[in-house]
Amino acid sequence: MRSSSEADRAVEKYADTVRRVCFMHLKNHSDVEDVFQEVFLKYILYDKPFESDAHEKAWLIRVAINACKDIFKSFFRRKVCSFEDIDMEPFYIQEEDRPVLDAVLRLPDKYRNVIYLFYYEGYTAVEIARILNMRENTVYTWLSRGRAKLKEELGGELLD
Amino acid sequence: MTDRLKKAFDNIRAEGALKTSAKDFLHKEILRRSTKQNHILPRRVFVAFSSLAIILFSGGMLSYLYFTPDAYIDMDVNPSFEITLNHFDRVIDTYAYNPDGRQILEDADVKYKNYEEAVSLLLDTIAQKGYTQENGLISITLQSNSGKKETAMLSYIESVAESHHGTAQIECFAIGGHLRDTAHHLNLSPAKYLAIQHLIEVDPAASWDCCREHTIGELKALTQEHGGSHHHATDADESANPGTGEKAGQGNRHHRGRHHP
Repeated sequence: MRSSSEADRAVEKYADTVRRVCFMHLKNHSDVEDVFQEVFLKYILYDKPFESDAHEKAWLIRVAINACKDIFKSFFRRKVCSFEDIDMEPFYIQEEDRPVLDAVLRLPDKYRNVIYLFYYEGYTAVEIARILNMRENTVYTWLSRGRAKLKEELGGELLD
Repeated sequence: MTDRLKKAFDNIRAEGALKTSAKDFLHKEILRRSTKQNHILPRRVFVAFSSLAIILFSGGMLSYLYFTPDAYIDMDVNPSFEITLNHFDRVIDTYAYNPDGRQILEDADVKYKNYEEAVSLLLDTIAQKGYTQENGLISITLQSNSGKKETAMLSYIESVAESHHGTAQIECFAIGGHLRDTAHHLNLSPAKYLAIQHLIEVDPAASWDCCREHTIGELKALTQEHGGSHHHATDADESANPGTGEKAGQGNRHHRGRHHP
């Protein structure tokens, strides 16, 4: 088990990354808090060393995506929990950025993940395939479809 | 597209409160789990030591039962020896009263064998060495603290002896621990001790030292010469145990019973 100082360092370093993954999948703040804690709990319980910071970050992203998926596997959460929209998020989002975020959030889960990892985190298709545990060709397909849907949603705005 | 998405997602940042609550949660979990692990360790040590203690105790008990004498079978033809049996009826020790007895024990090699196999092997070896000739006498005594075991063993020894004795006479009887101890103290088999005792009763000139070199058959013959009855050890209890006593067969005298000194 990792120490408290290692836990603090990881939270400071990767909190924003984990929060973005949560933002893409969860609409309820209490779910965000649960997943956030669970991801870093798994981190402190994971004893094996990471090869590099990049490896550590990719590991946390994968754990965060899986934790978000698990939330929706719960029958109780599927049926009972309320949803808050983007306006309810506790951070300030600039007006000009809202359409882009809305469009990404409207994408199906599978497209949303690859779009985020490719365009925001800068991972290659090979790396995304490894993180999401899928075939590289599938990543390309989903990237292409996700991008097409975004263009459809945002029109010329995306091309600006 | 990349820039637009990057700029949009840059708005998303973990709130200070979220980070603080996560850190608090992790500190508490680390403390709780390390305390739990500290509790688990002594428990594991306790379980390990308990298991070891049980294994050692069981091993000790088994060893105690295995190596604690539970019964003694003495045979006296002229070779004279004793085998000691444990709780599981296995031979755990042997003792020779004379050089002939030592030779028989060496040749038969009965240590750690079951008493049934041991008795059979010893009688075979005695027969092979020619000790069971006509008018010879094989005296077998058994001392056990368990009456049930004594009865079963006597029956078995008697049946095996019958098939091995050739033309020799057989006497087979149970004795008490005190008689065995007294005989042992004089380095005599219990059967020879009784034979000498009976001879001294009718011939006060006889002594323990001069009699010990005679066979039991010779001692009984001397007792008869001095007017004593053919004093078999079982005579004393024939009245008490009418079912056990003299048996006739092919001209041999065969005795079984319990001696009460």
